[in-house]
Amino acid sequence: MDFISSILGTTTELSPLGFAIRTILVGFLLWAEGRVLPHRSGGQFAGYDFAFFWMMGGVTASPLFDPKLNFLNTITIIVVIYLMHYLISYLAVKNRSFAKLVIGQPIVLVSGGKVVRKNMARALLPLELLLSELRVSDAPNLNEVEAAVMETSGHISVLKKADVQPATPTELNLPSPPGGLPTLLINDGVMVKENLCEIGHDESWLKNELGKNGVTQPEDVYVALIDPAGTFHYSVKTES
Amino acid sequence: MMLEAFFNGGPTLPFWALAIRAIILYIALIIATRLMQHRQVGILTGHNYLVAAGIVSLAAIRMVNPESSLVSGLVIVFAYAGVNVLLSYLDIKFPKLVDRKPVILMKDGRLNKKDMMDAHVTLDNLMGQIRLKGAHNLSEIDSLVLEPTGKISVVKKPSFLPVNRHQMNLPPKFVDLPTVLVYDGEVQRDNLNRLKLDLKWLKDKLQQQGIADSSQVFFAVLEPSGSLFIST
Repeated sequence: MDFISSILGTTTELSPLGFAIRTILVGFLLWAEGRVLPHRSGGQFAGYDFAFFWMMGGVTASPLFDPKLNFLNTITIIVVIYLMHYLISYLAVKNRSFAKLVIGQPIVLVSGGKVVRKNMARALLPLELLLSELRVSDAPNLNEVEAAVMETSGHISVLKKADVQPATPTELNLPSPPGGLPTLLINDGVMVKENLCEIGHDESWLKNELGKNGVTQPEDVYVALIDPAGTFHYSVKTES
Repeated sequence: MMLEAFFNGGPTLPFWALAIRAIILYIALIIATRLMQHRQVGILTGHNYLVAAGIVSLAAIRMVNPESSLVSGLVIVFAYAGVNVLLSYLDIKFPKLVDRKPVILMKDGRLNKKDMMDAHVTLDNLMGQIRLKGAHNLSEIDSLVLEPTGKISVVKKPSFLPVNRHQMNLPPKFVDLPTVLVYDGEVQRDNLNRLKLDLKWLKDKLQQQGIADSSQVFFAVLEPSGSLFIST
């Protein structure tokens, strides 16, 4: 009984075994949090996502820092931080002025091909860092940059001048096939029925399509996809 | 007495003992990250990033606090890595049980307001993220997906993608990954054998470039087009 309370609660001494059990309990927290974490926190679109991202990880692991830290406090803090992030995100999508306040606004660093010195200072960015970020974005030559913006996520987006952008089929009067996301038809041997339905086909069509490629059992297929142009792709499980 | 304090923690430890403890924990952390595989380094899912933030702070706290037990610290680092690997493994077996689903923010050129609101992505956030992807105009985009990692992926409409070889009616071209033949002066025999080439072939090629011996080569890569990149 004492052992259990020392694992869950505050104690002065805890054996390595006790910490190992605490780790497994933290594992459950990781799993539960992983299910409900907001997508945007991982994307770190703004400073408050960044703070949430790192704080949440630290707090979740905190029962492992010191025997004195207990699970009840940890879970309390996790819930509080989660709710705070939820509240801020909720208000941000509902109210743009609030969003500007907590998220900040993107800063234009290069406009019309010219570096805006005043904004560089506002973004606390030395020239060297701008050049470095441009290189990382495949735009090493300022001549080719029309605009560059410091986004709220801390990365710099680049718009190249029209003349150095790759030509598109429209510009060359070439036909372009239908595009967009492909549809997953088989996931690890299991047919995804709702996706088949969505594109207006059924299982017998898929079996027939596989048969044309010499595959008799859908169970042998690891992944099968069809793109909006109608091109079929599959990989069988045994393929090395 | 000293050893006891070293492993289980004590009120005071000399600075060099703390230094050695830090080195041990640091090495343990490196081994643990290797065990957790690349998906941990790439932070692909929710539990990956929680572990990333957690495992470093817990190792750091154990490093600076002489009263904490080193043995517990090591047990925790590896148990934590183990839990993480277990969750990643469960993600393979039961994807619906572990990870979140991607959210479609735009489909067929139409923004999905409800899902954007549910995922708490503001329009300004979205515009910023697509600019980072080099897709500045929404009308050029077919689909936008908010991935479980939180990254937004962009699928452009084909008419706004760069022209490809197929559209230009160019003849088929062979592409494959390049093969390393010499790495810092050392000939990669396995790779040569796989391509059914031999040392003599390599020697001839090097001689054509005026290089007498492969040991002088810093890096040599055979590309699928047949050209050999050599840097001495």
